[in-house]
Amino acid sequence: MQHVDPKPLSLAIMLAFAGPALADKQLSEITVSSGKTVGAKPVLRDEIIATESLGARELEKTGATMLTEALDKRPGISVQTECSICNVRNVVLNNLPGRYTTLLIDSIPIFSSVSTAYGLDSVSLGGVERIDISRGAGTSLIAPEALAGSVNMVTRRPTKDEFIGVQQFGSYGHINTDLFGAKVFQGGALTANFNHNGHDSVDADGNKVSEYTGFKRNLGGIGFFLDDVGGFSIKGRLDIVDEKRMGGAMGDDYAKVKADQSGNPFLWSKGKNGSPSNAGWVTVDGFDSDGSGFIGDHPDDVAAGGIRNYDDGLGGMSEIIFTDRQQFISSATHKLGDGSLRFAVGLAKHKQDSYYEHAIYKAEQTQYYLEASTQQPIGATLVTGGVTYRYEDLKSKGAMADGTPNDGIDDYKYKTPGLFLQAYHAFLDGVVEVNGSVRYDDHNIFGGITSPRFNVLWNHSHELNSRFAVGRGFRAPTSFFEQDHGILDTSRIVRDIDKAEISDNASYALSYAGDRLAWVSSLNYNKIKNMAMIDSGATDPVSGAPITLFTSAKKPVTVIGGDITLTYKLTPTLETTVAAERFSYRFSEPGTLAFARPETRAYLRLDYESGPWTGMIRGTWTGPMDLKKFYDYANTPRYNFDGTRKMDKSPDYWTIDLRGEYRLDKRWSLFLGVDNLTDFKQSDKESMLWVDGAGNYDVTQIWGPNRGRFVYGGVKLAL
Amino acid sequence: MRRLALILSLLAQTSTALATDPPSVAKAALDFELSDGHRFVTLASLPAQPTVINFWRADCPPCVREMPELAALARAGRVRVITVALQRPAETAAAPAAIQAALQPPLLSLHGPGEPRGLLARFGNRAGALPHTVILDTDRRACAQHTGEINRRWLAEALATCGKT
Repeated sequence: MQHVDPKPLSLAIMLAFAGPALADKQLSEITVSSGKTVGAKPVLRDEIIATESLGARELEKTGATMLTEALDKRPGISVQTECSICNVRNVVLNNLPGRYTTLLIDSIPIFSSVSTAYGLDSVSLGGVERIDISRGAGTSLIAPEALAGSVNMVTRRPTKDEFIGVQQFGSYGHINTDLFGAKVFQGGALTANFNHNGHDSVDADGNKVSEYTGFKRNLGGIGFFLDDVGGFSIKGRLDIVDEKRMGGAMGDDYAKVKADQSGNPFLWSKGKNGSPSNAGWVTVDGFDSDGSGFIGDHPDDVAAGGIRNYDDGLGGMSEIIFTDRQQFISSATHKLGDGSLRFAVGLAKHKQDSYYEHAIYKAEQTQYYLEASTQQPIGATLVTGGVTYRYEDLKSKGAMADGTPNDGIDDYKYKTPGLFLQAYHAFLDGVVEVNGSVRYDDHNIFGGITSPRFNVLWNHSHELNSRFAVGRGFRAPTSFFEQDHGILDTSRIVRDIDKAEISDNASYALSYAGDRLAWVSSLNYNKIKNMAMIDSGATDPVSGAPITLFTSAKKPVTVIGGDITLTYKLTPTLETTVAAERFSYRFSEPGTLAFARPETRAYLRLDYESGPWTGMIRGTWTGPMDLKKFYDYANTPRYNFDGTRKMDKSPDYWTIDLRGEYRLDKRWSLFLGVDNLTDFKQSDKESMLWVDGAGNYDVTQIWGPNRGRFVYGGVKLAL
Repeated sequence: MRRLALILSLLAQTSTALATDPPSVAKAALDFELSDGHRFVTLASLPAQPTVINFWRADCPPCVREMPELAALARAGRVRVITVALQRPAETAAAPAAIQAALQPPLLSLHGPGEPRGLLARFGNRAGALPHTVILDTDRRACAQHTGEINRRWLAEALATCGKT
């Protein structure tokens, strides 16, 4: 029988053998309880300090079929759609831009730029034990580029043979198949997972332009766990992604849409504030088709208030993206002295073959991640030190809408060796825990960058604790892609960026964890300097061809927020959660915070569990958004197709989701759910499409749900 | 008789190696308010009796291994045995049939809160490691505890130690 001293430091030293992702890992005869739900105690000895954690059960209860669905509608965490026809989605932490959220799998960062855009929908939830969310730049020693925070998916080491199959069907032709199998053998385990997910495109306002992008996605992966290979405990997984999505034109006949380059197949008069004509839309200021400076000197010119006809066919309003990705990650840990030694490797190849409104963009991204680190007790201090090497490049080929090649316009190659050192110490018999760390990275473009962080956890009592964190992160702007997801109809990009984006973050959290009541409240301060910006409307002063300026903001952007979450067990079978968040945004340069976000959100949730029944109902209230400011109406007024002005403020709205599950026996379960029960969708109030004064259209007037009521149901088999 | 002597001998030989952890929890009476699936149960409302409290999860192998031992102890009737699952009922319901059988009365099977940090810390387990077992005397004060797998010998010794206090 093992004899274990329960003091935190000695446990920490033992647990260090399991590597940085500690919770719920078997370690000899000890299993560490994750227990990281609402009000979780941060584990300061970790390289990634989770501020929230979602277990597999919680993921299942929400009915999520992909990562972006799993993370949405939580205080301080949301998913933002940034394009109404391609539905690029970002995971937004503390309401900062999604590109500042770094996704890690088993603590290995292997997503960036292109893969962060469409790749996040293609992250399988199969075999995931939990998802740790770390809000704040100071929370991740591994990923300094996570200026808003990181999302770490932790895979589960099976302890028995198992098979889990889930078959789900839903509205809009939705079909989702999840298969997960595990085979345990002496000293290890193998896993395999497969996911097929499909969804038709959705056009709620009847103009034949989708608001919800249709997709077909196949994911496959295998994982391995070897408990002792020459003293090393090794785990790893290989994942393959194949996704096709198309928005704008309805259906999935990709070739037909690409080939259709003229005429008007759409109904521009349909929908809220639709045009008086199906042929096109009102051009408030008139359209100077030849750029002569005069309206009326060319047959294609449109007088102020006239109708600008659409003649670009299905393809001109459609975005088609094929994603092909392979990734491999692995880590190995070994006992070293009284501590541990860890090696980690990550490789990813991400290909994107895309068609953006006649323009072509084909990108290939390669990423490597290498890490060697050790965690050692030195006296009463637990010290972690390590070196990392990160490599990523992007190579693209493309053509403007008129066919002009623009190969390699956003190519880049970043090489970043780095080293880090962290010390953890518990004072006063664990009442106060302190973690200080610093990392230094030598970026091949932006030079040496030092990013420190400091965390203090004060356990006021067994139930109540405070956490204070300050930290700095840095990020090298990558491709213009992350700023404006669609390929720009541009001849070249002028990169005028010589400084990395820098984030300074401070946060304080007070949390209480009682037997029936738990609450956590936090305050977050984030200041981003040198925020990368895109100006896609520039023209070459010599040739007059459209060019894109990639620059840095001159003034910092500050986002300050607070949130509180309270969970109370009303009865043995019924639990309620009430939460609210409030954010303020300080920015002055258009294009920094380029998408609208609310100042206030509130959340209500009830969870029921009794015998074979499990149920969840949640309501999410989203407050008004200052569309006028975020969408920079001052410089670019936005209009509906009928020539009326776009809303200055979005209305507040509720969305209600519910899901119920009945367990037939130990193996079989049935479930039924409804997302957006009240069928609230933005298109009922305002189209996501907009035009400027000259009648140039875009697809980014986004503030509300892009899909109405969604009903789904299915069956689960667990062996 | 020889068998008993052998057991006593083994116990004596291993007593130093298997010493119970000193209780790090407060000397005050401990309490909780947890669900048995139908009602909330508080320790204070239960009749005064030495009590073994075991914190566990169905996906924790050592937790599952030691469960039959706890069930046997509960059936012996000398002490009250309470298990606190740090999972939702649907998750523990997926445990093997042998575990479900072990969780039947007289053992009292409860479920912990979704965020068990405070509960675990109160019962001397700030690090949140499982399995974790605490023995309370009749005044609900912790007199022995252990983080990690326990066995019959540990229980016997710990209960004996608690009986002397």
